[in-house]
Amino acid sequence: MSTDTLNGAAVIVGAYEHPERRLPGYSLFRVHREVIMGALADAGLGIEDVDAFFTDGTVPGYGTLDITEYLGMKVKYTEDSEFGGATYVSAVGHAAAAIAQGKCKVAVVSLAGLPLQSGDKTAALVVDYGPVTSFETNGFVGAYGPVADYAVLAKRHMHDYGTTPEQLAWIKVAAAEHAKHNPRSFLKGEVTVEDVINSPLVADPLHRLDCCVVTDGGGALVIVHPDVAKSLGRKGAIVRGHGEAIKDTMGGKADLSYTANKPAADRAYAEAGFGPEKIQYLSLYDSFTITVLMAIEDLGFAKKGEGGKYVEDFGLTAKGGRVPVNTDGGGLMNNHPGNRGGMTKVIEAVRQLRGEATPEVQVKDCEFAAAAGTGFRLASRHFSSTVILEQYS
Amino acid sequence: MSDTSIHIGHGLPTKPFPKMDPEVEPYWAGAREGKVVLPYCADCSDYFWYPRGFCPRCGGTSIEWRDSAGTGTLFSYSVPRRSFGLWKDHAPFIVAWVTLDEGITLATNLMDVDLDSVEIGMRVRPVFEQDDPEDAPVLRYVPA
Repeated sequence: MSTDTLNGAAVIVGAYEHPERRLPGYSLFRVHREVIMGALADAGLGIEDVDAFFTDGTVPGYGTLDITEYLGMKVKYTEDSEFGGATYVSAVGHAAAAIAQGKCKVAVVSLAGLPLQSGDKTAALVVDYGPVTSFETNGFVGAYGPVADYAVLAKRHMHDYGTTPEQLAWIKVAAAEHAKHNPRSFLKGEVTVEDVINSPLVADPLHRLDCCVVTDGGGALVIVHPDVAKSLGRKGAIVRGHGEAIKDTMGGKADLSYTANKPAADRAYAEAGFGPEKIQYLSLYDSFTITVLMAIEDLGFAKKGEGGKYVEDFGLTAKGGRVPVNTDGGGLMNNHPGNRGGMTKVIEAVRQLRGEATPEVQVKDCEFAAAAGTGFRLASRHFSSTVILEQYS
Repeated sequence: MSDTSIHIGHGLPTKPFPKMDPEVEPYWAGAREGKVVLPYCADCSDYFWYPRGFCPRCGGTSIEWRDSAGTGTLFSYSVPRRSFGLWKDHAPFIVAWVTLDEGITLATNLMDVDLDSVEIGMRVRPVFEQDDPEDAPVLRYVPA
């Protein structure tokens, strides 16, 4: 196998989402443990089989040392990389690349978060901000949550392309339509366009119902060398392509017409050797409705500026032969563990490729799926990562 | 629309004191005199933002600090309806992206304006806010 591409180099054989949405009394380590054990059991592997571990920068302790010690995990390759909500989509690519290079054979990726426990409703990661904050309204620390930054992008999209608040609302309506079939969903019940428009403005033009939920929880993935996958006999997802990108304020030459999803997806498609035309299921990070709208355009499902038209009238459901998006109800309804979206995006894509999604939303003969994540602030500075997956059986 | 009655005032927080990078002292020296001073790269012959001691496009260090009128147009904006920390009692306020006439866009606040008269493309001019003489002067905007 060539090692200059990771197309086909690794298979996701384990995927597990924490079943709970509120975890009072839990430590982050316990959430990590439960999702990792869940994903390993799903794959038919044990903790002793794991030789690589990937997580985000929020894990307590010295890098990944304290968590691997707690778990009794002996690894020879590890990363605690921070790309916000894109982290876990990126980690699929990083794990596949490490496997392709012969650095490891059984990689675990994990996410745990307890924002409800801490009462943190701002979704703002506590970090020591860089030098730009000296010039951005004297530092945005404390001024507003990420929502206003996403809203700046939404406002500009409306100005440039005539996108409407009602069109954004349809993204929430579709999520609720899918969440109806998910008994674990944090929010339940039908949502109408009017419900979204009539919910209080949080940061114009985004309303409360344009925002994702805040939940505890987590998830984990097991990504292995194809030889290991063969020995397990478990269905899964072959990694066909991966791409990631950053977008920032570009030295002051602002352009809000696209996000880092665009270059990330282009790289992933190039590695896979095909484009959006083959994708039958799509997981898109939905921190806010505008995040999905931009991703629909940037991943090539709608032309630039036509995302609003695309999402109208249940456009993100299977209705009319469309590619369904976030069939678990997504972050807008189902869950958003640790204020981070990428993990659940990959998990639902794996369910779809295995034929294990909720029957009402299962895509028939789902062979190809894509999952995309975005981290931090969509207007000012963010990461994006995309993976292209193929059914493995 | 209920927005018709909302007037956005001024007097937004100017704390905490920002990190001061000695390489960009000309920007702050200008700000203390109420002048917008912008970094200009002599190698690429263009402005950049935010101020740094080198050009983020070409890596060059031939930086000129040029006086600017600071005027520009509103590129986009949002109106946070609630906030926290020092800003808790200041919502709603306007987060504004302003494109200066020099072609660079910066994130700031738009103030002293009725919410229903705010529109992308409107002309704006700079003001420096400073709650307290110990604070750094913060670049903000009002309608031109």
